[in-house]
Amino acid sequence: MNETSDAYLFSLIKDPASKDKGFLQLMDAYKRPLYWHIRRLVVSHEDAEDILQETFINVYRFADSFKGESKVFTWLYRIATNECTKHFRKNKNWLKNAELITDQMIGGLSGSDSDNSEAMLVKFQQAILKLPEKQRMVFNLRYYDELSYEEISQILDSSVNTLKTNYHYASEKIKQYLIEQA
Amino acid sequence: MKQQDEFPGIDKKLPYREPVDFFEGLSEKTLQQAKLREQRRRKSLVLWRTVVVAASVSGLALLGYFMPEPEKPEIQQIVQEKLPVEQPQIINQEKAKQPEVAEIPKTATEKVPETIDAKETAVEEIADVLADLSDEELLQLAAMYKADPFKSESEQ
Repeated sequence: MNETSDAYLFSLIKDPASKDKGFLQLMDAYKRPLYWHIRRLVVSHEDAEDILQETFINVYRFADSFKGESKVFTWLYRIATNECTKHFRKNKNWLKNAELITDQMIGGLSGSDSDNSEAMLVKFQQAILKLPEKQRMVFNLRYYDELSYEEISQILDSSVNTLKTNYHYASEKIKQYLIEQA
Repeated sequence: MKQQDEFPGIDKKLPYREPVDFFEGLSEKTLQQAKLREQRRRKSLVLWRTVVVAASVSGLALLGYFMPEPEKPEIQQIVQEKLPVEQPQIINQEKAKQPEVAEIPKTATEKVPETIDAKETAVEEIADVLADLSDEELLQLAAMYKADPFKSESEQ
């Protein structure tokens, strides 16, 4: 979605008469990328659904406070990431549950080639889950969402150099884990 | 991409799947939730404002009840502080002045009225006695006065 259409959507949302219409259009545009961003972080679909709803409820409530100083998608990612962080703080057992899900996924795969590649994907996810929270977020935003360090910096409120270091350490740890698991 | 080279043989897709038709109707459902939350928030805001106003009013009332006149003790203290200093001065002054004013008239006036009063009371007593006497008794008294042997010649 380009910036012009984002600006148009927010002009709709800020007008009380067209707020609902603008909100529905904004959600239709961003619900999928945000869902997968959240799902990668929390793994469980149920948790991802709750966090996605909470994210858009916050967008509905605080839409008037969006000044347009950053891009809409970085603002939305920032809200979603904050909701994920809240979820991690509230549910101390979330990582155990996530590892249980990936273990079940590997256990459910048979021995075919397609299953092997699927198993590789699951192990890759397991390696990401082993990372510290900050490194996991940076890696996901950079590797999957292909955001620039400047954009990630706006989302995570960190300096570009710190993010580069985080990404470097994260990728090294993942490689090490995959070698150990091979 | 640089990231893809870092992990050869690993796709960027995820091993997770979303439930079928998960995204269908999600926007409308979330909008309803958002509106419902907003209504609840407004209601609770009104409730909280009412509670805060009621609490402040009752707080002020309690404050007023427990501290009715905070200035009174100060006034009493001031009076207590001032009275012992000022009053003795006035009393002393009066006491100091009183002898000068009161002693002079006492010597001049008090003794004279005492003698006049004694004479007046004596005359009054004789008059009362005479008034109480009958005519016969008066005649007897006059006869006794004429025949008094101890009366001097000049008086007779």
